Amino acid sequence: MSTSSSSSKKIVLKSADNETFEIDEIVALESQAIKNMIEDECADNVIPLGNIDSKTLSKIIEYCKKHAESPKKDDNADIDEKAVEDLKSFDAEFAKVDMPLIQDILMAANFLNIDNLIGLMCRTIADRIKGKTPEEIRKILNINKNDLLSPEQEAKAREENSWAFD
Amino acid sequence: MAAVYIPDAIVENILTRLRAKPLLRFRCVSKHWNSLITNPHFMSSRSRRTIFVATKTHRLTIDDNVTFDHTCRDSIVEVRYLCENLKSDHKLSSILGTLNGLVLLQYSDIMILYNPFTRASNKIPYPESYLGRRGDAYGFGYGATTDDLRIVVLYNTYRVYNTSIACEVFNLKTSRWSTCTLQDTYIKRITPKDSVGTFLNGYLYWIIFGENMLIALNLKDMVLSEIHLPFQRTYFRAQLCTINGRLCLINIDKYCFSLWVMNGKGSKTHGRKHIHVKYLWMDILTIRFVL
Repeated sequence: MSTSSSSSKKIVLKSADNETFEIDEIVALESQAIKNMIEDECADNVIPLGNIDSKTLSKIIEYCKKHAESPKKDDNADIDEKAVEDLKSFDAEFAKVDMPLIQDILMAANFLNIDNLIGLMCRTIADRIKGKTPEEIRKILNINKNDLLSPEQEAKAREENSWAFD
Repeated sequence: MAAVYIPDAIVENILTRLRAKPLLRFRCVSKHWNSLITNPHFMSSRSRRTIFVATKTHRLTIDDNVTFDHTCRDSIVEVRYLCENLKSDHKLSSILGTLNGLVLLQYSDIMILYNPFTRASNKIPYPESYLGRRGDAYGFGYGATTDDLRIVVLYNTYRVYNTSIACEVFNLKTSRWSTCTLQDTYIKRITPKDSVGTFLNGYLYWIIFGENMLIALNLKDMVLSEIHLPFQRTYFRAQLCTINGRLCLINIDKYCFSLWVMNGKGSKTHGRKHIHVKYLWMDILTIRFVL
């Protein structure tokens, strides 16, 4: 894809562990939060992201780069099928990481407000947990042990929806 | 690893992608998940993407289409609805409507409000005044707010010199039937083509048999009004439906399929006694069959 003059502008992101990433502005604009910062002119040359570590941030940049390069759906109605397929298989490959990283990416995507990435991570989590038992989910998602249902409440939930436990 | 706080919006985003079965199982994950899943708001947001189709054999086909995208196929599940304590001669005659994830099933002598996901059901007897007769029009909708669910039965009463329409309303909050007087109505008789009304934005609509018009009942003020169609509907295969919050009429005849969408209110004219509102309709799709 041809790059416009705006892409020559660079943005630097700094992770929690003080690693810096220099990216094209157009890549950074995939994040609605960064886009707002740039539009409101409250972004310095370096944007510190104190709650995102470098491992997560590099994954997120990888995702934003790919999506920034791909033609947008609303650009024109007849974008080629191949680009759509290509992006789909990229997303599928991208999501093939372990559960803690998925959650870190999800939290960071939520913070940076990257809609497509939030959707992709939520779908991935839903796909991975759908066949699991409640016990397994608590472990996978680190559910607070103090928030468990009482035995009576659990029995009630099981009884009301016994068909779902078959 | 310490428990990370996942915002509710994110948990809901994950949960809405699940089908009913795992979703209900996950009520046991935690108190928090239980309250999110059983929240009526959450269930009703799901219901918008759910289609119910009744079949003859005490089964309900649900298109449990919970994904926002098309990554999830074969989303159709079939569930058996509760029919215990029902006599075997109870025949399902129709689905009166679906709202907030609830389905209202009509049997020959009872109605059942059914939540296909939690499998909870609630029997609703017909009103006493109704015994031994059939309603002429039925509907399931809500009044001022979405939790103010109501079942409406309309029937014509015939007296020597005049006919009028009687209206019985079942309020789900109070679980009681009450007789309701239709306000200022000049319509004396209701003869719908199909007895089950279509609910949209506070109104129930029926196509009137043999006439080129609809009847609309405003559930908030219980006012009945006529809507004349500016196009000719087909007499046998015309059907009401809703698409994206608009009322639609599907017209099918031997040569043509057309979809008309009600496109808001037009001009008002004052007749001698009542106000006539002209509605604008738009033909959004017409397919002519080449024979």
